[in-house]
Amino acid sequence: MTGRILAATAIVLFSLLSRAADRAASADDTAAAPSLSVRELFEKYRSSVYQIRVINDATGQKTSIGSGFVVGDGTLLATNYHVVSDVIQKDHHHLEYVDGEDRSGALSLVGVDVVNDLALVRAEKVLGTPMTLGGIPVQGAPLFSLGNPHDLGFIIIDGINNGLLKKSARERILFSASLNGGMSGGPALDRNGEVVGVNVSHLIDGDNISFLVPATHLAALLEKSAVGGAAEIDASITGQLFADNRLYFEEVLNNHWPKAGIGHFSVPLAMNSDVRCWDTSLDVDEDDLLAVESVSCFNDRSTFIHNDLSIGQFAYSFTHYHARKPIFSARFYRLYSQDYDLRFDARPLRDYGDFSCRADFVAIAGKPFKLTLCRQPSKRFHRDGEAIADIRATAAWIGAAREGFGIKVALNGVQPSLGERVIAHLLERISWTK
Amino acid sequence: MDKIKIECNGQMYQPTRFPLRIGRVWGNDIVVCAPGVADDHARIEKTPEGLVLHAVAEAHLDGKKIRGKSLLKHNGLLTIGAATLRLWSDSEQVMPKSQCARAWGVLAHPVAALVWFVSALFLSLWENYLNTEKYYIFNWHLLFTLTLTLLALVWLLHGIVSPIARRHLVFPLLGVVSLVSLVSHLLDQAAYWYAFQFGTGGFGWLMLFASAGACIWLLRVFLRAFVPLYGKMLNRYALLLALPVLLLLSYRFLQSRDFFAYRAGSYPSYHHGLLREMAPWRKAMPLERFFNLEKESKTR
Repeated sequence: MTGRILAATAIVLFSLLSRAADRAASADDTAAAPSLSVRELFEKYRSSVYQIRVINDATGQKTSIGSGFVVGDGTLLATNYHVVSDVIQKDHHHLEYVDGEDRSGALSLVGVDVVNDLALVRAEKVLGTPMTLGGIPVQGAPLFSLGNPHDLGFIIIDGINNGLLKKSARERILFSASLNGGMSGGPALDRNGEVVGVNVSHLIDGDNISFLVPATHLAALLEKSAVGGAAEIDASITGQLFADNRLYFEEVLNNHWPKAGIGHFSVPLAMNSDVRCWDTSLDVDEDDLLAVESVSCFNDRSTFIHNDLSIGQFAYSFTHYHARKPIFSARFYRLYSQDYDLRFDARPLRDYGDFSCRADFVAIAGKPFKLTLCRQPSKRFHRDGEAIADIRATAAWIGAAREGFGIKVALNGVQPSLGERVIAHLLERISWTK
Repeated sequence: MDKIKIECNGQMYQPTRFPLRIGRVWGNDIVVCAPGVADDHARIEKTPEGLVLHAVAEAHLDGKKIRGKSLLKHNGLLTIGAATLRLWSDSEQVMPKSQCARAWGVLAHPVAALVWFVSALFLSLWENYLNTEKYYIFNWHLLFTLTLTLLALVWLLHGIVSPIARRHLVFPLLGVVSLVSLVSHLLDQAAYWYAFQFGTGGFGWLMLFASAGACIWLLRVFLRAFVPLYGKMLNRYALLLALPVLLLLSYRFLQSRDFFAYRAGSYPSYHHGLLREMAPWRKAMPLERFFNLEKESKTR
């Protein structure tokens, strides 16, 4: 009997000590809020977490599932835009919530933030206690994510907060845990039960590399939706895309671009913190006639619109070509031509219009280049007579007998006036070093 | 002239009774069974001025269309439909020949035809050599394919034309087909050059139409010289012969422009070929002008 009492005392003491230690670790953020155990967190907040489904009216079956949690006045659920995108992008689909007891009800879309992949939906009744939004705790603090992975039931997982990504176009919290499909839109909580972020994605090729959208973006969306800013969802998305492009590319245009030498040209490389450059030179085989030294740069900026359409990507490459053997100049130019192409991402016909191109000789770094620029405009996202478009540019230095220099730029989902300014700016930064 | 001998289908007619009726059906004085010959096609009448040829349907005398009636003054070739009748008024005189036929030696002579054929093959192989990104190994596959294609085309055209020509025209047709192949390749090169210089693919279509026009014209001239055909029959047969050639030209043209892979407009259309030199009158423009940045900065 005494032994049992001792053991119970030890457990209580250990529990108290560990809670005290955790409180000390996150003293900056917790203020006076109590620190909860994983079990307590789950017990306390499971009723505020729902599964969100998009249902096809034609079949009555779900096309996508995700998670959501109660915010605002208790009738609102926060989730990811990509969870509910089918309702916006497809006709005859509707939204439903399902709770832990398999009770379901209708939802209506209130507002979206495509750039941060957030959405707000409203139920016809109060669904539970609204969750409190909080700030990002210190790196290393534990976080707990709730959701319904793969429709298996509501669960909680733990992981480590590793703070905001430093080299990213989007504000994302690096959450070292294993998020799974179906958990998207669920809340990630700190020890005090405050929502630090919204589950959004995980790295497919990585282990335990998941991402959260900081709760501050959700707070901003709640504020906008409260004033009725999301009445016209498509117009709202267009406005967000235009503004996000302006924000991102204006910064790019004002940045200092580090340069590097490739062939006889000095070229700008990573023009923003999220742009990563790689050597993409090709291995030369014995019987290859051309040697190629190449650098390709691209960013991680991608805005999900629907399952067949993500935009926002930005990439460019510089390639130096030279003949390995004394071949005819005409033959060199035929082989050089094979790389003078523009590759567009396949786009749904319902979303994108026909291509238009223009080409001419331009002077880049004082040398003659053939430049071709093509674009494919969006049918849906346009404002003031300008539609966002996928833009591709390819330029090739001409004049040398057996040597060439190719430049390629690709921008997805950018307003052409801005996109072309970025391309022009990039080309103007190139200089001759020979 | 009031006497005439008419040579038709290897038979010699010496009419004594006029008017002499020529046509396809039984009951005519001279029955001609050939494509394009009407039931009642032509008549030769005796008048105080001499024998007069009266064209009921379209007929050509020595290559000239007979409009109504024509006085027969000397030996002549009467073409009705796909049939040619030799009208001998004076057997001492020579029968006039088609003027074109004399100039055809450079294309139709067996040696000349083979030279054109080899040239057409060589140009295609040269193109293939220029586009090979590895050390060049002679492309036997291309050689066989090309040879087979050109010879198959000759065989097909010969099959169409031999019933009306009534003689072997393999070498002239080989010359014609090879020349069309050469011309279309050269026009392709012109389109390549133009697309590079002016940054547009529109010239390619123009060159395709030029190739098609050259093909129809060449076959038309060939039919006039070697069958001979005139008028509507000439146009019909020229188009009939040109059809397989035009299909091949169009296929090659569209294939190189991804026509069969994508819906029109669903892929960017731009020039792909690079050349070393700009045309002398062309200049590289500043980037601001290409991107219209001068105008934008003024309006801002």
